[in-house]
Amino acid sequence: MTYKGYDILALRFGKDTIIYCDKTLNPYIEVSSDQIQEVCIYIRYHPELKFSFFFSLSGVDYPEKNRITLVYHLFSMKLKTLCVLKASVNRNHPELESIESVWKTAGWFEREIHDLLGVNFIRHSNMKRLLLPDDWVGYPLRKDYKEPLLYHDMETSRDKPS
Amino acid sequence: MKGNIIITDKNTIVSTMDDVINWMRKSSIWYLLFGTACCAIELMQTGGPRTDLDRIGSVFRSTPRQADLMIVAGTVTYKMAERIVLLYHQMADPKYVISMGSCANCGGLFQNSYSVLKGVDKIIPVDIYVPGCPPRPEALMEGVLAIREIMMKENYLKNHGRRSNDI
Repeated sequence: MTYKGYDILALRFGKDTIIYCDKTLNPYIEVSSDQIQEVCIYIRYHPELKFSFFFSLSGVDYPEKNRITLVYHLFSMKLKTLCVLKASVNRNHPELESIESVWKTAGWFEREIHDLLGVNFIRHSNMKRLLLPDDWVGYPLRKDYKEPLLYHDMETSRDKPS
Repeated sequence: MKGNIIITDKNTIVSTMDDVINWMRKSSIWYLLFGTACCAIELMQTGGPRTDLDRIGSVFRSTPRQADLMIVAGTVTYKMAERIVLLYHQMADPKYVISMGSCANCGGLFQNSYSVLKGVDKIIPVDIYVPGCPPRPEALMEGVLAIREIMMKENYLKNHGRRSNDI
């Protein structure tokens, strides 16, 4: 993400809600979770930005901060640059707006994150588990996930050979 | 086959029914395709021209109802495990199972995973374990030959078509 792109965003949303951070290897922009959809629509359709390609969406669990952070990777064919957006939600009630209406493909990523981290995406067209069975208990990629001893009468552990 | 009487000038062999049935059965082991991961690539290679499972009468079947042997080739997730049990019960008696590769034997690389079954013997009885990650075609061939030896020891007539160590 260029500084120019960030300036355009900051002009529209204000420097308090959109924070640019370049201390890491890849600079990113931190967005508040209730503004994520607005920011995405703006960044996609603005004539000077046009971040039309959605790379990936991933989730990171931070139990010590009690937050789950969502990382959006976008690419602009016009500027030829990558942009990283980060939004963090409360771990106890992880909820934020779906961006399926902006990039259709984001719906799949959101379902996967719902499956593995338990984040609830509001106004998603089909918010249910993607890979795991529907009756699965818990979210396996959370750091405090404990595997149950049995799943459908199948043992989930195996003794090491003596 | 031991204990057979060969009458050379009449072109005749006198043998027991069990021996003949076992010999016919071991010469046409039809196996169910059950490739769930990369072991299936080696399973395909075993059917290829170098190792050639076909030459001992083993051909793959896509349906469990025609299969005698199930080769579980690859990682088994809990979601897939329920389907394996279903397919195993659809196979006609007597039936045999080869567990191929570390993942099917004990979970292998994925033993600490939340979604992988730690060994297919947790859900179905296994006759032969083929170690390796993945096993070479020769190793799987050795497994199938071991199944043939097990087959030659059965007494199907006495046990009414079931296996002598049936569960």
